[in-house]
Amino acid sequence: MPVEEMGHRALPQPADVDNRVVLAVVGGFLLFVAAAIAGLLLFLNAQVPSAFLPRTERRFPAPALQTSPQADLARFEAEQQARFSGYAWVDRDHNKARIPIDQAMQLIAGRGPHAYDAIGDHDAQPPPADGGKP
Amino acid sequence: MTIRRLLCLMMLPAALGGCGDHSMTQQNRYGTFTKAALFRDGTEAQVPPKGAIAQGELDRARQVATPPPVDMALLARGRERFGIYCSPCHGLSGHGDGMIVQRGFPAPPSFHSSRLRAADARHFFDVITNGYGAMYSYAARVEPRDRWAIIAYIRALQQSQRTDMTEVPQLRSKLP
Repeated sequence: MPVEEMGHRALPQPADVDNRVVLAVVGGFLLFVAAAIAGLLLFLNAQVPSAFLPRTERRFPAPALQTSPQADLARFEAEQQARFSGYAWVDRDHNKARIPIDQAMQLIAGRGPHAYDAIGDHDAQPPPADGGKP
Repeated sequence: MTIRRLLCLMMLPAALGGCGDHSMTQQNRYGTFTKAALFRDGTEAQVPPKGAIAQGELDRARQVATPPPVDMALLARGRERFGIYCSPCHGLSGHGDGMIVQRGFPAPPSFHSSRLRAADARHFFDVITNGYGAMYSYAARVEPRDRWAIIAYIRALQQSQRTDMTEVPQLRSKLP
């Protein structure tokens, strides 16, 4: 095998490759990347100015642990039952009061065929914020 | 010779498989949605004849149309059913603040608002039957008679939360 051929094969590229073409391709690529970055920055600056603002800290929510759901529900229902377990004023000016549910059931049962009728008093007010405890 | 006997013994369970009674799986019947010469329209899928109704439907329709008379037993039943089906959203006192609402579900209106105190009983019945807004139908869970019982109990709740002095004797003496 001639020595010249071995030397030719040992080269990474043929000696006749034009270096200027390689430089032009690499330079063009770098120019394209630079132009793309500049264009992107200009676009973000114009359309999404918040992209350059420092990010606000995101705090994780506290773990909503319920250690005793049954006890919580029992307490919650006891609070609600207190609303219809006793006597309390609702509107003293108009002589309206709250009565226990058992008594109210007896009143409704005593109405006979009119038990399903609408409750006559239509000027009801929203419930008080304190839960209406007597 | 011994191997042959062993093989025969191993084959025996396979032969036993043919002894089963296949009368349940091999019946003289039509498959689902197959052609059927027995019927005039030629299909196995037959619809009920005109006028056919489900068992118990007439009784159910009667219960829907006619509210039962209200007594303490019906109200107690309504109270129990209300606690099971209604209170998770409407709250035990009917203010629309049940436990589900505490967890973020949209709050239903209060039964003590002017609109619902003046609402007809049939309105409540229709809402329980067909649902309303975020509330789905409870027709499959609550029988018509129980719906009426719940409505009677809602009236008792409304009465409880706003009663006129003239309706209860000596009420003033019991108030703080």
